[in-house]
Amino acid sequence: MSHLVIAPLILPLVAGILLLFLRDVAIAWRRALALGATLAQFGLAVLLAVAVNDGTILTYALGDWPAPYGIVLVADRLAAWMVLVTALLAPFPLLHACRGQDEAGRHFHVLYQWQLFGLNGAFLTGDLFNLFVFFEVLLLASYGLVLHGGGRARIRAGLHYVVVNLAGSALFLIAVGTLYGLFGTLNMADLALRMAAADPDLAGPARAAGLLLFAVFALKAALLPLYLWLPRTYAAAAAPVAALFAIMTKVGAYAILRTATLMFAGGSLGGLLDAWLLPLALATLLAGLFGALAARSLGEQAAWLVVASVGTLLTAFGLGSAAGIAAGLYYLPHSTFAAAALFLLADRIGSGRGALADRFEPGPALAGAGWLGGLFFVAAILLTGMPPLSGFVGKFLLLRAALAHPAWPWVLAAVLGGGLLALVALARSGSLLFFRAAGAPAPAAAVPVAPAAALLALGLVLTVAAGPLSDLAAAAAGQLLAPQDYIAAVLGSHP
Amino acid sequence: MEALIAGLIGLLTACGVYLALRGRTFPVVLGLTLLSYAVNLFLFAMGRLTVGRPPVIGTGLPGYADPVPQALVLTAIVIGFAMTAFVIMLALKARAELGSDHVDGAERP
Amino acid sequence: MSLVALAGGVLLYAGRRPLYAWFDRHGDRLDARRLYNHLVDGLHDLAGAVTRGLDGGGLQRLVAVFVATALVLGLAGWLGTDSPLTGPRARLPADGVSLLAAVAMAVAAVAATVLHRRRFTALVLVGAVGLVVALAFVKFSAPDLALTQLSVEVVTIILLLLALYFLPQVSPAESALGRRGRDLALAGLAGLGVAALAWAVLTRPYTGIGDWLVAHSVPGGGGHNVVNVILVDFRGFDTLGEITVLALAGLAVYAMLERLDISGQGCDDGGRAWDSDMHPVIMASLTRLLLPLALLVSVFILLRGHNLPGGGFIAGLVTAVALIMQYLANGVAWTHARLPANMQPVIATGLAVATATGLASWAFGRPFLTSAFGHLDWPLVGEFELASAMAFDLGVYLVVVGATLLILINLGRLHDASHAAPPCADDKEAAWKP
Repeated sequence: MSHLVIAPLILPLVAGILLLFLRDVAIAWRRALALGATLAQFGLAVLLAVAVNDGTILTYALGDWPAPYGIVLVADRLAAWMVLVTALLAPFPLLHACRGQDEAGRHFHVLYQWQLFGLNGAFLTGDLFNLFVFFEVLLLASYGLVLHGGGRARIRAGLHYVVVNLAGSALFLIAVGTLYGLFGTLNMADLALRMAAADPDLAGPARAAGLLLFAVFALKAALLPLYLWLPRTYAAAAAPVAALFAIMTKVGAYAILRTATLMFAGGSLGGLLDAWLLPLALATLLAGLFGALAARSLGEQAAWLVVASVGTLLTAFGLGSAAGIAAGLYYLPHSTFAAAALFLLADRIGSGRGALADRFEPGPALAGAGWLGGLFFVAAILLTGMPPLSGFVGKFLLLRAALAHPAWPWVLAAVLGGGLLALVALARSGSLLFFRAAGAPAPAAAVPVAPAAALLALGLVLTVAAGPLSDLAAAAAGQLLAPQDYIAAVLGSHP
Repeated sequence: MEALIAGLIGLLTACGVYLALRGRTFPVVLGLTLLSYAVNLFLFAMGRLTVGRPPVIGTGLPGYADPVPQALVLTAIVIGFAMTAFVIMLALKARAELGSDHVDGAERP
Repeated sequence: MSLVALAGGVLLYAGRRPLYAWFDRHGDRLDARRLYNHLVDGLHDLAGAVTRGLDGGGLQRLVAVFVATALVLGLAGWLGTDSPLTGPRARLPADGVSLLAAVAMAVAAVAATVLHRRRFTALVLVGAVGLVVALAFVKFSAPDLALTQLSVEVVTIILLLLALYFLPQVSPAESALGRRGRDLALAGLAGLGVAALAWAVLTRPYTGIGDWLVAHSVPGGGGHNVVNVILVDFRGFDTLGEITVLALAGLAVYAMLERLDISGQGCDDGGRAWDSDMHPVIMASLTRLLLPLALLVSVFILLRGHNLPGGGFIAGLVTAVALIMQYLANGVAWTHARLPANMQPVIATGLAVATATGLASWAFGRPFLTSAFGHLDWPLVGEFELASAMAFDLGVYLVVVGATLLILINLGRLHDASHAAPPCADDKEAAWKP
């Protein structure tokens, strides 16, 4: 037993509690504490990733109760990968916020830490009801963060976001309840075993519950037709919050991947998502890019590009093959960092344009337009998947995996056509923001540019290290497609 | 008895969903409250219906109701309470800032 | 193939003069840059049309799409199989009292839905539904749930009542008939679907992990109330997440209300001014007398929770209700003079206690939240069982008290501020505006 598995949960929880105690201490100290905690989080994530790198699956029985009776945390390659991506992302929106936006409302840092608590909990838990609890933790933290700073647009978007997610939580409970009522367990590995051996008489309600669960995760992941909450929410949220939320849709995608490979892998629930995931993902990809084309501001465009990236990611997962899942896992950090960088960049660009903000209208020349334009160019290349950066590598892996799938012409057409649409959309916004400028430059703003640049640099790292990283992704995909190892690790460790 | 409970759960769900689809915040909150009652009853019923056998050991009863769904419902009630408290306050905030208690504010998108 | 190309070339050459002439007239339109711009603008317009078509409509559309999607997916999942709706499990007979309670609940729920525009009435009816839910928990062997449901019900209704003060008392009738028909159909189908799912599960047998938990509750968890042992021990991690949610709700509401400027209305719908006498004497003195008693009861509930129905959550709510009664009866100013208004340290302490209890097991080489318990002979009290889970439950209690009061006190403060507003403005809508 190693406490390393639970450490990524304890750290943000305790950091949040400390920040709550210290709420009246000078902001500089609290910022230092929050940043220190996220950096330590990164260290823990690296240690965890190293610990599972030889293919071992670490488990942690909370309260020392054996699975399936107690709650168990499970760190396999996928969970460690997700925790690592979150930890890599988290410091940069925080740094961006620490230039003053964190003081626009109360408790920003507490909410931020507990958001990380919820995210890491969702990635590491091996229990379906515990997953529900962590979904609620990360949702309530995100409600607070969406509203951070106030303002009409945020409150309207926040109200929509909250109500839709409350409906989603109700459905989550119905699905989990049905699965418990049928199989008498909540542990995901145990559920997988019992589902595989289930009486065919149970198939009807079990498959219905499985697809209801998929509906809940599709809502969180913003899959068509459940994606409409996302653009208005992300575009309205403060830039650091939107940047952190780049990982939020990935929680839904993670949950879909986990349930599809573990619980819906065989038996009476086998192939449950086959008919749905790929077509919906392709449609989401195109809908997101159409939205990006029609966007009226850079923040809105970034939000639609998040939708498109969810479409691409779930297309990869929807292929179902090891190569497809591996391509998706490589694409996941890339799209997260690139989208987060674009949100932060939009904030920086908007702050230099006065009342126009980041709206697509010709405005004054930007102070530091050369720098910003260069960063925007890099972000655009990453997001459109042009060579030679990581977006291209991700799409190349995806297309190579798609060739083995019967629906390959559709995937090829949507991904390549989508790349073209993204190119047109970003070229249009870039030319509007940087080349149709007129008049004197506005005074330089206090919004930092370094965090966005650092996130883009992470994209470059992903490109340079594409070889070893795609090997890691392939190993994680292979582990997912052999769920018996996961089940043995969770259930086999006790008599 | 099973049919009665299933029917009630269905009725509460229908009323909750209908109210949640209204255009003003207060009925929506009431609808979500009804929906959470329905969901809590549903989750609770997943341990099947048992009369007169609370899961408290040492009462001398011949058996116990399944305690797991009860514990889950307790957690769900608490989380539901937190959510209701949050969303009603958000409704007040929206009323003050958007100038209307319509879910889309005064100027509809 | 080359013949065709050749023929095309010849044709082009033959028709070169008209072509040149045409190009002279229209050639500038073939400029690649303009073509590109036309193409992009067209694409942009198309994208705008598609996106507006999909994205139009507000929250109601979002919720409706979600309900419809869930219905389609649930139905599709079932229809692919040949499972019968009804399973083979033996069923309980219905008795008269249950039938009566069910009818009462059904009437209240339907009435709340039909009368939803009269908000106060609808709220009272929803409260009645909640009470019958608590009765159902009593009937079906869940005393802990009944206690919890009751106390949550009280706090929720107080909260909604206080909030309703700041909202219009009636909803305007603004949904078109078609919209209402669509919503009714969606709601009816959702109800049918959930009822069918419940029926399908209730009529099928299962073997759960519950028996193992019942068997290990006393020897392994040191408590006789299995539900409480699950909450603080077997699944204590769920509870830690749950109190984090509660703490988050309190803090998020606090952050949200900080700069809220809202006034309630000073008069009812008939234009009569509301009673300005806020604190009736009898209620004020009674609640002051009751406070120590209520606090004693909540400590009792907290301590006995491990063995009998009760526990930190219910105890916390009882305390919160007792303290809220002081606010309602004596006013914010009176109560603030006697009670620390800032509940954030209470929340932080509660979470810290719960987390520290969990971390303490690391010192003994055990995983997070491993419980320990032993028996203690207290003078006068007699043998008393002390479990580390009780410290955890204390943390739960503190978070519940802190978060509930944080929300309600802030709402109460808004009330006090709004009483300063003129009592009965001519224009009702204006009186509600910030």
